Amino acid sequence: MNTSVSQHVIRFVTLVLIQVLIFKGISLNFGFLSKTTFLIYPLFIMLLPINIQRSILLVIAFFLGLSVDIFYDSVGVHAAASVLTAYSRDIVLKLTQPVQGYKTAGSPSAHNFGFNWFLLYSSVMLVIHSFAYFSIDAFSFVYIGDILLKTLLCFIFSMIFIMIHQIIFKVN
Amino acid sequence: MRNLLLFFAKYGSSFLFIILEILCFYLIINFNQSQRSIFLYSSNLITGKLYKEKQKITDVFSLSDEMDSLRLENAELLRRTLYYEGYGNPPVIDTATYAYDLIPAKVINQSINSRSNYMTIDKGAGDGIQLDMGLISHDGVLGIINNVNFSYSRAISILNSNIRISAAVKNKGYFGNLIWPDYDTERMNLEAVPKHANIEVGDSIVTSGYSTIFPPDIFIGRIETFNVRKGEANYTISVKLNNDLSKTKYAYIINNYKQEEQLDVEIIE
Repeated sequence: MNTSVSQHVIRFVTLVLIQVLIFKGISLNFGFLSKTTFLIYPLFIMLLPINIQRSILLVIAFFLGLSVDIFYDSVGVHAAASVLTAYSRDIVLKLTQPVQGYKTAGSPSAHNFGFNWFLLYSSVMLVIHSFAYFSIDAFSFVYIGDILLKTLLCFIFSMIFIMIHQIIFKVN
Repeated sequence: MRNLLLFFAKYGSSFLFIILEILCFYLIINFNQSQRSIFLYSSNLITGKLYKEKQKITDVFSLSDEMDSLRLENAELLRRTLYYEGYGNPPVIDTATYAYDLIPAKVINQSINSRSNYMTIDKGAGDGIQLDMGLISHDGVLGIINNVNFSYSRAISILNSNIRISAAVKNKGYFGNLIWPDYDTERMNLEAVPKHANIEVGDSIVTSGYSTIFPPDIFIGRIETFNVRKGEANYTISVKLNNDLSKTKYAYIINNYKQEEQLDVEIIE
C-alpha cells in the first residue's frame, strides 16, 4: 500500500513539473500549429487506482489542477477542468469496461489492460479534459471553432507523450 | 435520518463535484481578468432584461408621482422659453457649436444602501452610450457610466466610495472634489477647498466643468455644515444633495463631443 501511495505522489510531482517546466514553454511555430497546447498532467487522474473513492478522486484532481494553475497564472481554470475529468472517470471506465471486467485493484494502465484498451480510455479522458479546459479558458462558446481546433491539436500532441509514457513505464 | 445518510452515501460525490466546480468558477471569475469581463458582460445582458421587465410593472404604480415631476420640469422649461420670448429673440440652437448632447434614459435598477452603489439604465452602446459619460437627472448629478453593452449600461452612482466629482461653490470660484464618505444617502463631502475661502452655509454647489464628464453649473446641492479639521489646510464641507437618489426614475446621459479633444491635450508624457 505504502509503495503504491508513494508511487502516486512521485507521479503527481513529476507530471506537474514536466507540465509547467517543459511543456508550458513549448510552442510550435508553424501556422495554425502555434495554437497547440500540451496537457499531460491529466495522465495522473487516469492512472489513479480503479477502486479509489470518487470523492477522494475529486479532491485530488482539484489540487492537481490548482497546482498547475499556480504556474499558469490562471487560478481555477485547470482545476475546474480536472474536477470535471475526475468526475467523468467512473463513467468512462464503465463505458470502456473490458469483457472480462476489471479484476485488478491497481491502475487502469496499458500494462494491466492492454495497449488498445488504454488508447481508447485515455483518448476519451483527454478529449473531455482538453475540451473542458479550452471552453473554460475562452469562457464563451462564441469561440467554439477556436476551442475545437485547440482541443484537436492538444489531443494529438499530448497523446503522443501519454503513449510514450505508457511504453516506458509499466504502471501496475 | 437513515434515508438522508443513504442519500448522501449514494450522491455525495456528485454534491462534492458541484461544490468544487462552483469553487473553481468563483476563483476563475475573481482572479482572471478576461473571464471576469465576459462574465460581467453576459450577466449584465440577463439582469438588464430582467430589471426592465420588473420596471414595466412597478412603473404603473408610480405614474402619478412621475407625471407631477415631469409637469414641474415642463413648467420650468416653459418659464425659460417665456423669459427668452420676452427678449424677442429665442436662442438659436446650432448643434454644430453645441459641446454636449443629452440622451434620455430610464433607471431600471439601482442600489443605494451598500458601500459601492451602482445603477443600471436601459440605454447601451446601440444608443450611443460610451464609457465615462456622465449621468444626470433634472435635479442633480447621478453618476458616471462604467460598463456598457449593446442595450444596457451600468453607472457608478455618486453614492459610491470610489467616485470623485469635480465641484465648485457657485459664483465664488472655489472648487474641490466631491466624495461620498459613508452610508448617508443624502450628503456628500466637498474636499480640498482651502480654509481661507469665504463660504457660507446655504451656498450652492455645482459641477465645476473642469472634468470632461460633466458640463459646468449643474446644481448638486447646498452647503449644510463646514469645518476645518485640526492640522489641515482645507475645509471639510458637508453638502446636502438636491436630488433624492432613492426616487430617481429618469436620467440623461451627457455626451461631451469634445471629450476626446480635451483629454488629448491633457495627456502629459
